[in-house]
Amino acid sequence: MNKCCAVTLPAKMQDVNIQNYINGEWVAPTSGAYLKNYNPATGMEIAPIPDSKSADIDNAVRAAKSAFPMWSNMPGVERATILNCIADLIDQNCAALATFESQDQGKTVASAAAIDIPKCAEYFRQFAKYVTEGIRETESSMKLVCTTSSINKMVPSSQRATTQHVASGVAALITPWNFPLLMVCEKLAPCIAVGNTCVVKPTELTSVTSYLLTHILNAAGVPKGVVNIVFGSGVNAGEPLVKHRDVRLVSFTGGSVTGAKVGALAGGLFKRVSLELGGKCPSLVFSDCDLEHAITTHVRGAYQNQGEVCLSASRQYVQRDIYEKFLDGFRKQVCQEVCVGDPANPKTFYGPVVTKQHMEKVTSYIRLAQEEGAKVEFLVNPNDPAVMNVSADGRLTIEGLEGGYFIAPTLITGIKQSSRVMQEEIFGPVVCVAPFDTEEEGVQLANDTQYGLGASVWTEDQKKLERVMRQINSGSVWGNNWLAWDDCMPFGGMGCSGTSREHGPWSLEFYTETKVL
Amino acid sequence: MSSILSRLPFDETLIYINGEWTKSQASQTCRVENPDTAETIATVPECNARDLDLAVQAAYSAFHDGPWVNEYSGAQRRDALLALATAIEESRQDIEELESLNTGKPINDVRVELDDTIDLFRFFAGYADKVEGRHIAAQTNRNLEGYTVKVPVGVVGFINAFNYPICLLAWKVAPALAAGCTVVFKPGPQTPLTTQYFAHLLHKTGRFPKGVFNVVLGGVGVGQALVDHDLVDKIGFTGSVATGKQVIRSTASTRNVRCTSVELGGKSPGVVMPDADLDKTAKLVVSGCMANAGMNCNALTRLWVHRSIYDEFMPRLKAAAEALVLSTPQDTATEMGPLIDKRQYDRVLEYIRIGRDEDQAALLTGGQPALGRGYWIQPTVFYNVSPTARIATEEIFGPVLSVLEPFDELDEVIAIERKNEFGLAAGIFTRRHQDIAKFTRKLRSGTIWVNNYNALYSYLPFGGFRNSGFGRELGYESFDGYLVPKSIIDDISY
Repeated sequence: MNKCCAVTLPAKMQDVNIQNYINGEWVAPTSGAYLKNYNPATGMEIAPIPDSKSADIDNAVRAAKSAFPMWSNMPGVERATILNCIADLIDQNCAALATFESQDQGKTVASAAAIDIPKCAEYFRQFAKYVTEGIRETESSMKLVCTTSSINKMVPSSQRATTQHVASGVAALITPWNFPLLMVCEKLAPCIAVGNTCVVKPTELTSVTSYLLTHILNAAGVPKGVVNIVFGSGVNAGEPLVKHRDVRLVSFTGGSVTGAKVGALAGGLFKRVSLELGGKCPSLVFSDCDLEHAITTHVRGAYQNQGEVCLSASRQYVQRDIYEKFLDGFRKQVCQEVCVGDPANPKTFYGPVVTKQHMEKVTSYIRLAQEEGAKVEFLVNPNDPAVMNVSADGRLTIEGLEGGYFIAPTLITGIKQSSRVMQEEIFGPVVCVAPFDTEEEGVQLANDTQYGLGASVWTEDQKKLERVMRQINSGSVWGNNWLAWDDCMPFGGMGCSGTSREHGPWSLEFYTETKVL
Repeated sequence: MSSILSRLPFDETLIYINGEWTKSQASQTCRVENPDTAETIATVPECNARDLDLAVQAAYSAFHDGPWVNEYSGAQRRDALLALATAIEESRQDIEELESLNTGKPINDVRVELDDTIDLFRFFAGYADKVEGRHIAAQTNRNLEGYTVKVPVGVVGFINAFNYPICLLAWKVAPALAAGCTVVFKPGPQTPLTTQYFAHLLHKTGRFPKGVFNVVLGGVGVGQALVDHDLVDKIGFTGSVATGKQVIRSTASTRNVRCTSVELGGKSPGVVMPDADLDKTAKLVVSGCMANAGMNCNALTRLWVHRSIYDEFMPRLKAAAEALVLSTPQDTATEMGPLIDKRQYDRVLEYIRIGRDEDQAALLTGGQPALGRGYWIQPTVFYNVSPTARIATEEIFGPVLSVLEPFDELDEVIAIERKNEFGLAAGIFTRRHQDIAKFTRKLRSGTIWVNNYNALYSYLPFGGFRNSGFGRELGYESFDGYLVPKSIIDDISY
């Protein structure tokens, strides 16, 4: 039985030297080339990342394939022990990981420490439990899914039929930059818990914490080859990984455009694929809601994590009777409470967006809205001393962080439903608010989208709540809240938001093969 | 067409044991009444311990040696139950007429009960071939490979109440037979006829081996003998708290420990919030209380009305209660029937007296016998009743509603209901999301109705907390109650 060791992580960003982690060793990319990487708060260069190509991917998949028989045959309880060890090491290094995440991604240290990092540890513990307990029934789910156990049925005479869920093989895990380490762990935990081995290809925009994870995996006793992390771009590293003949399944979280490519490649090669893509999540705020609670939640839903959340409450439809009142309350709350600035400052609500290019993309939507004649407001606290300037398209100049990619909390009203600003995912601190009159109109507006990931409905009338929630075409619908979370509920989208469901038993289902004996 | 009584397709003076209609070993008989008129409509045997023993022995052999469990597949049991459901459906008019004559239930109510009865046999038939265990592969814990097999619990003895004779028979017998158990069934002594008809239909399908289903008739004596019999593996009981406790005690004092499931009664509260639709709610409350003349374990018998709407609500409640049509049960216009027998009739009148004289409650409507024949009592509503009054806390099992003193906060209601001796059902009338959430989360009640009452669903479990009993009927949960898991553990390295 492995003893859980401690791990020593680099003390500062300058000490971080990102290399590929293949077959239990840290190696340079075969090309010797590296991609630049930046701290979004300062615009300064930080740890460059390997620019990996097919050769590196081949090495990684080969390592994963060799490790598969040993790992999948290991008793589940032993894998679970390692998973719990990983969780412990993540917890022990929460502060450090949160700081590195913030410096790489731009999110506040406080949010990384409160949300991202603890969740990473939780995922490993949750799936360690699934493996040892075999079955878990969720409060609201009738589904019983087993990992290494199976369902046994007595059929007539002396036959017995057993359904087994077994490990699939080598998985490709491709992750995005909005919750870098969290997204990796969300996939990694169930993937290896059930006995698969894998190659992880994190986004090149935020690779630091994934690299640090390799040290944790190593210290936790994950055998060599079970988890390989290869850094690089989607084109040079991601594509060969998805296409690799020994990769059995692909789990991808990212934008819908890349998702379409991944889906097409994987589907054409008969690989199982899970796509968690974008969203343009609507909320419907009826006049008989708890207005104060609605406003507070919508402020959070619009701007948390810089709005870089697939579930961001980016389209808010408010019933006309309370429309002005809602907006007044919203503006007031944002100006008073949402401070944008140094991610290391505990008072900061959100930090810079992830890259210069992304700042360009987000502000382009702001400019578009302005061109279309919508009302665009930047809800910056006039008394905030850190904000030195607000540009015409919402960029903030923050004192001491003049090179950073900061965008003001932006409120857009008077925008057409058909506008690109209303229909396309902006993925920044920009929210559109519009009025609606009748319930039918509200539902129609909410469903008028190519996406279908999350939505929320706000009313104190139980009957209306149930009726409206049922009519919204969305993978998750929240009633009188936003992002209330249960790790056992299926998560995923409709339409362009994606193709599958993960979390809890649904992840177990995705990562295993079903056989009947 | 002549009355069903003159053309019963079975001999009601015989009993159905071990696949045959035979004479009882006892000489006692029992009079069966029509409570509408108090006339005798039939005479049936009052079984004794010897009859009971023969019935249990038949069920025991059928279980351990017969084909029902040892040869039939789940699919065959399923098909037998489906055939039975169809047989009931084909004879439903006769059964409805018979049930209405024996119980005084309005014919429209009986039709709904037959719908439920037929539906339940089909519903539980669906589970018969879906009994599954679990399998833990050796990988989880080295070389041990293990699996569970679910087997039927065995011989089940049922003691049924008189309030829903054929319907409650379905609740009990359908899942038990679907699970592969064999049954000895004792209907309430007042209401044996539809049970006998059922036995006749079951026999006629030809799909149930002898001894799988047996009926004994009688009262406390034969009931006690059933509960005391060592060869019975499980007892299912619906009845009063006092008798229920006696049943539970008995199951511990026989040589073999066995499991029980008891459904004992209730004093279910309803809550009318300020935003409720008062007209609709008044009607729902009245039917919630008065359906089956209040002889309903989950009847809504104590009502909380918010102070702000109390005065508006009471006249509507009065009107709705007085609008109920009491008439010949076989008439489709009739909405409420009589009490089942003299004992219940006397008991309810006594509670009305207690309400007036001891609890000093104000009478809104009713309080008197009705129709001048049989065991009829008017729908009766008391109001401004103290929550601790006897009529507000003791189960009356009749058409008597206590409207409690007005309340101000839902939290008060929830706190007081925590002290309710029973916990079978409850209802709330409001559209406010927060209040519904609070009420449904906090109240320890087996079923909670929101903006309706008495709606039962085959799919969801029914049963109580505290003195309302334990165990669940309906839903997968009840089916699972007739199964027991066995674990088989194999060392594959040997």
